[in-house]
Amino acid sequence: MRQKFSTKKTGRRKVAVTMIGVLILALFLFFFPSVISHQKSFAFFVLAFGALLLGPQTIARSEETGIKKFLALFRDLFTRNPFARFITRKVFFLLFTLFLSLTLVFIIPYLMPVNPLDIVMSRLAARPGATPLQIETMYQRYNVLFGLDKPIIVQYGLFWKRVFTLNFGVSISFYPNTTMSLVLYALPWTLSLVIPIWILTFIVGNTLGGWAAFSKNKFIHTLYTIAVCLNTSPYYWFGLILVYIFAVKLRWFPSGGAYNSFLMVSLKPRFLLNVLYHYILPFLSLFLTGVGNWCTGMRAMTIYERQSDYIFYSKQLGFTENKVRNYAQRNAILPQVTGLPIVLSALIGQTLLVEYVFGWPGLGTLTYQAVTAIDYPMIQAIFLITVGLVLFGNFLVDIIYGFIDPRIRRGYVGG
Amino acid sequence: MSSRVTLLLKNRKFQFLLGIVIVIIMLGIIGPFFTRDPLKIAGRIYEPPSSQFLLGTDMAGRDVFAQLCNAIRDSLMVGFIAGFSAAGIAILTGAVLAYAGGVVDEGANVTTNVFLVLPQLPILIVIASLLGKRSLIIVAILIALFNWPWMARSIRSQILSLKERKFVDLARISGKSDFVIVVKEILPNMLAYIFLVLIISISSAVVMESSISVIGLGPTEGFTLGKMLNLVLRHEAAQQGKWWYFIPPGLILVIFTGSLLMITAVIDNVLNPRTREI
Repeated sequence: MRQKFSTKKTGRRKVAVTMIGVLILALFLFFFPSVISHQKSFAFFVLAFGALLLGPQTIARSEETGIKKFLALFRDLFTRNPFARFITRKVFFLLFTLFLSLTLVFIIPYLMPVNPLDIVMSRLAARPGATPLQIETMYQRYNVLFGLDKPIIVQYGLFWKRVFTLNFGVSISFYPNTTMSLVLYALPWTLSLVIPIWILTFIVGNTLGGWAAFSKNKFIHTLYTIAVCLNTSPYYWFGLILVYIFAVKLRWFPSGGAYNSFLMVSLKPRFLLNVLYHYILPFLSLFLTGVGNWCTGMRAMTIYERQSDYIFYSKQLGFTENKVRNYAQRNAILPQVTGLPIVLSALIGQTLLVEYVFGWPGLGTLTYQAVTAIDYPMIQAIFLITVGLVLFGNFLVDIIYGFIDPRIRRGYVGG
Repeated sequence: MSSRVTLLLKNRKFQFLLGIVIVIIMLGIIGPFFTRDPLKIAGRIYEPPSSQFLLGTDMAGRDVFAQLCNAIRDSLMVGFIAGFSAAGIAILTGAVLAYAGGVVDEGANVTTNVFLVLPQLPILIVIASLLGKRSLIIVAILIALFNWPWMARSIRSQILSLKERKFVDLARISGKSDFVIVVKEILPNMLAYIFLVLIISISSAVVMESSISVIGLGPTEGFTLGKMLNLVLRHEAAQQGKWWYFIPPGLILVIFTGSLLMITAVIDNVLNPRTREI
């Protein structure tokens, strides 16, 4: 019996690891819209994610077959399995958040005394070189998209239609392209900054904070102080200083862009190396300012844990310093994990600005272009994508938290 | 209360940090009266710092130091208005939530969670892009609207813990209403905490203002630090190596927010008996 149980457990683990691999592959596909369309890779991503969450459950229910198995799985989601219940609750919260935030974005313009689209139109009309015919066609295009002459409830419906079909019309600032294709092209560039920085600052910052709480080493404390000081500086301004030192004075790195303009976007090593060369400065300006975010919290939490009874007890038992530190840090990291979503939503804003500073072709630069061209549908689309990103990151952190917390984890990998 | 203030004022670190903050504020208040018109072309293009132009000139030959003083004034104005109103909303909702309980508390808790998750900057960009004219006050109110939830939450939890204390029980037994208890008993006991929240609120409002101004959606009137940085970016001053133009506005931001944050740490150190250095 025991033997059988443990094979089931390793089977689940295998499925989980495979699925994570598939998930990373699905994320990677986003970078190559020429090979596979964004819609397809998104669908693939969602499928892989669902399989990652539910796959191990199907193995757990291997004694049932066919439709019965499916029904049992569904029942589990709401009742028995603590992990599944946890996930379901989180999904509902996120859907509610998405609904509320998008509704907020829809409603706020209507609370203003003047119709916001009239403002957009009048500002477009004030642009030099705008002919009446152009403005008329623009107005027609907006009208189809927003349904301005219809009652507000229909406009609200149209808003959700835009959200679900991801159809924000043809872009104003880059005429023949659709808004969504531009946003989806920019998305991987932004992700390539956000994801590594989100993860690396968490790891490096917490390690440094944990060290600073225990060690009396001068070097570590200097590093700690530098990280905390850098954290107070505006990241985009810090980026400018890096540009001044490393691009203008030392000429080590390029001052902007993501690749040399004479290179074609491709997968060749020459292109990738060139991107990496341009990647270093924006990465550093976000990374160095972000590490301090975690240091202070981790140091405080570790010091707090250091004074608790179980640490005294394990010291009395004669545990090595390393082991004691390990215990303290394992407990200190838990509240840090709950801070990840808030840092992600701040990080997205920071990345938008840093991209603009470096001319990195991500969502930030696109936002700036949309703002200067008064391309309101584009701004809405970018908002939708960023909120989706933040909420998805939240969900991911919740799942990770579920894994760290043994009471919830039991439901996923088995007792 | 007064003993705590004297305890603070005696602290060397606190004196130093407060001095820095006051110098910056004074630069913003008094500076504009003594400098040139920040929008007047007064010299050649990109003149390096000299006795005539303390921080040189910008790409149109305008005085950078004059711009900086005006920018500090307007940035701080936005910061103070946004900071105070956000803290006000937070105290009000925090107190109401702590005392209301039940469905109201639960609902508000979900709402604050939603606000905490939402990325502030993109929301502000969406809203600000719709406004053709943005005065300093409107920008400040916008920032305040999205800055209060975390404060409301922490104030609520503070009030909840104070509610369980003996002196509150005593006040309740003596027949005071909830409103009187909150205003006369609880809030005075968390003044230090409210002060901390206010400081953080102001400094984050200043930073947020500069963030939305950098992308070109800040106040359309006035001249803020973020707007200076926006001009720097638009004219690629850093790429051209004009350090006197792009370093000062950011440096002022760093020093201002950094010293405010350190002040909160010092206050916590001095007033919190558990961490007080004797």
